[in-house]
Amino acid sequence: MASDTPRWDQEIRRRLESAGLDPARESEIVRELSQHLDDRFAELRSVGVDVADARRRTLAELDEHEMMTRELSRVERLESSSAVLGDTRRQPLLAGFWQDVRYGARSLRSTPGFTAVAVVTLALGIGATTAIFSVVDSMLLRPLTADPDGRVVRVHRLNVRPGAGSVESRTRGWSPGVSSIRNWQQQHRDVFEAIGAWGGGTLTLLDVDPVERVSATAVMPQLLRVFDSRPAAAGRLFVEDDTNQPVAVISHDAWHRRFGGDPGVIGRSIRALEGSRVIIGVLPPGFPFQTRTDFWIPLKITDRMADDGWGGNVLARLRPGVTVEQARDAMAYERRQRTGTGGVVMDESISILSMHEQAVRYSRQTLYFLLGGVGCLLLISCVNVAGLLIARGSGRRREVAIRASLGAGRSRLIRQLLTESLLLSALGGVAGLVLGSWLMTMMVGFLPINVPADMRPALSLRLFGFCTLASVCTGFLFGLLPAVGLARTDLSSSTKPGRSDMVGGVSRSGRLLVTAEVALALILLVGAGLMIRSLQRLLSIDSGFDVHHALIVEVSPVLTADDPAVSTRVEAFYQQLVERLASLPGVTAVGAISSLPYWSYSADAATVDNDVKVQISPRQILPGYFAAVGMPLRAGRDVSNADRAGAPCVVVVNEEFVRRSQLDAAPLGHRVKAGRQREWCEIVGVVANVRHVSLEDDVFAEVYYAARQTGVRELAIVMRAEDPSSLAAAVRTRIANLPERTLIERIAPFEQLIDRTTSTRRNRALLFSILGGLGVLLASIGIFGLTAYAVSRRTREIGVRVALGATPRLVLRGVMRDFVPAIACGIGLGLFGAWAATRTLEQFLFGVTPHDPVTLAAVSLLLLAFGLLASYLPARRALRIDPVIALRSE
Amino acid sequence: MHDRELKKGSAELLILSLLEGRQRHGYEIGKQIEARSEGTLRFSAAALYPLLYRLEKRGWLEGRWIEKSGQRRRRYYRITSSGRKILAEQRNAWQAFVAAINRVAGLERI
Repeated sequence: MASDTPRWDQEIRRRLESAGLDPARESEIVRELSQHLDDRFAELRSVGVDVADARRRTLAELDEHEMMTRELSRVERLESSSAVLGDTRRQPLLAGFWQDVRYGARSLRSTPGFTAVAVVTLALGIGATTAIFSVVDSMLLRPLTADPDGRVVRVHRLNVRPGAGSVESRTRGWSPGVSSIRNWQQQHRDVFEAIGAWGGGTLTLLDVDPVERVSATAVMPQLLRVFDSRPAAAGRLFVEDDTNQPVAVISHDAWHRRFGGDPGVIGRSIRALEGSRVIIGVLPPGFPFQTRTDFWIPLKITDRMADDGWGGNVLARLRPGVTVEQARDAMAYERRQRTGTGGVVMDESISILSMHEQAVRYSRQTLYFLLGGVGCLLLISCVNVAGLLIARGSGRRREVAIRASLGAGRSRLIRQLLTESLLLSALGGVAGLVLGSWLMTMMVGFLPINVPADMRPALSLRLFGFCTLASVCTGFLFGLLPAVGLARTDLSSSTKPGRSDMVGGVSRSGRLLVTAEVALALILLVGAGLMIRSLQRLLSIDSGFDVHHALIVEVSPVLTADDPAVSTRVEAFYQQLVERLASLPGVTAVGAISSLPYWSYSADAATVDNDVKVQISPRQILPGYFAAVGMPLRAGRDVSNADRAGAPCVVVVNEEFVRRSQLDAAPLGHRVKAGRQREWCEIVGVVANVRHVSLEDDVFAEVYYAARQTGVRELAIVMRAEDPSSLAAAVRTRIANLPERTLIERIAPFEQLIDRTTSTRRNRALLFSILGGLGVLLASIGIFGLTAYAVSRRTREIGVRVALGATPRLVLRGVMRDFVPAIACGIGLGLFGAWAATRTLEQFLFGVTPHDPVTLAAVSLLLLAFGLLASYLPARRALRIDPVIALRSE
Repeated sequence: MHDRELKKGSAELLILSLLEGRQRHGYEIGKQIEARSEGTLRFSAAALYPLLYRLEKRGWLEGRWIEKSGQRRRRYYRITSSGRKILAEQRNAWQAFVAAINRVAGLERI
């Protein structure tokens, strides 16, 4: 550019002044025009025109500036209307989108109350859904850390008994015997890369103080190869010859934590109550299976384990390319019929299940159900926000009509309104993600399913994706109906001031939304109601124990198994302890039992001397147990200290045993023989039934042996006192004063046992109650909003009616008339929906049918009450309307 | 008056035709019209730019600021696909119009 070129900007601006352009647009035009003038000026100068003349002739380009400003303002008015809502065809899509976003943001900022309620509503829906989805993601969608490529399977033997009932209820799983496993190791090298068994175990470490009991995983040597093919980090891993040898492998973590990573640990001996072991190796770092196990020991293989059903777990690693189905086919020859006890012919087969499936199969249904529940909640949020948008939209009809008259097409209007909804749902989504990730960590403890440690939910890309998708879908879902309704605005009627477009109150779509909201909330409430009723039923079951006045003390003497007098010393230990604890003030009874209620149980077949065979659950007790847990003695006596080794064997049975063994007339004095080795034992007492195994199961036939006759390694002590929890400290002191070294595992109120067995149902009821409660809350907010809006729209009409002498009741009825049928309709629809949905709920219920009339009636009434209240509160405002002000309101 | 109205009516056709082959900036469009009509048709900046903006608003043109090396940023105009359709229509219409005028005015031999 030549240096003598004048600046044209001022000249151009002066001429554009009257066009009234948008400042940004004006500068752009000024820039373009001044470039044009520069070019013209340069051209004139290049042909020898002098500066002054060139300047004059250049400015002549703008001579017709009146026409220019007129034209520009005409064109740019088009521009300004399209900036709000122009025609899509006239500008690139993205530019239009940003305009919409900016416009939407402005519009949301101008109604902060509405925006806040809508965002909170959406955040609740999206947050809850995201939280539940995070668990679905971590449990169902993500591969196991122990098995990232999905090649580890569990191999199990199944027996299906003939008879009525579902296949599941007739199926029993058995762990395959060790001889089968060894066979398969040889035969199926083309299917399994490695196959082995493992079982749980404990090591009571004596070289630490106090004595520490840790879990030790017992494995067949090949099992380690199922998860990891790397060599040992130090020393070596198990080989076949290690079976039944006193050796151990430690985890890499334990190596560093317990032994400071000392390579000299190999060959070192660890002293344990269960027998000392020599450390032979360290697992490679990050070994993926049983990550919290410090000590690994070879599985002790006894003769009994050659057969099926020894209680271990068999895992195998499939060769690359081998599918689970192919493995099943390869094992199909194992399918056969087998004659079990009592001549029952059972179908026997091998089940092969991926480890992942094994881990989640009992949780899947619950998770889907929860997902359905939060989905309902999300839908309610959508409906709610749609209602809010409709209410708000009616106030915007004039604005929309003006835009439409400026040339915005209907699709363009809908696009703008939808962008606004998406903006709202994006805000809700961000808030929901924050809420969801908080809920995610908080919720895990309250889930009615077992979430394994390596399946804890975590933030992931998929979770972000889900949250985004949920937000976008919600945005469309709640935005479309109001947007279409609004875009259909009739220009002529809406632009006239003072005309209310919905003279009758709330629109049909508003009533539709209330119906939908109520129906969805009812479904959630029915779910919650049924869960609560199930829990109630469960809690109302009399366990048979007096749970409030008992304390459990799990303690064992530290006595090595190689001590020749171990059984006598154990017996003496408990005898002494029971006596010492009984002398504590406030203690009214002390006893002990081999396995606590709801903890574990064993089953055995027993023969009674009248030749009746009964399936029993045997337990060993010390005298005083019945009194300590509050089990009344129905006949005969408790076992006594005189019932010791050498004395004739005696047992106490429960009423159920008496019934099943058909000894109703006089059970005392009859004899019973259980298991393979036991001698005949005389029934000396009958106690009341208790639910020892689980609250939900039927009462078992139980036989209580005198522990001093059968000999037992560990017992749990139960003490009875008015205030059991206050005793814990005194109990500890008494135990500490014993001459033996002891291992205290637990001192806790007896109630804890019941809590543990009911926790799944409690959590389920809690979670569904929260969902139901949120559903009702959101639905109420929705109804409240729509009523309040209807009242505000009808201020004038109500004013007229009040002025003409309408009673408050009539006015109220007039306002609520719109909603009561909608609420009733929603309840009807919801009942129908719940009726359909509860069929899947059945499996989670206890003691109630899915169509429990009490629950259905109660939740319907509750929802009706909330619905009426939510519409009554804003309707009451109508009564306070001053007719004079109302008539002036427009 | 006639001059102005005639120019305005045909201007759209002129501009679209000029942009058919390549994108051009405003000054270049003005110069091209002047050159190709051998000086008969001339648009001042005041007439040309509102026209360009109007066509752009209708979606027939697309204007973009482009920086070419060694030059300053300029607003270049490019014909859009709907602009091409309009161009074809206007050419036909113009042809028919000119033919009709010619026939009526006796400029065409029968």
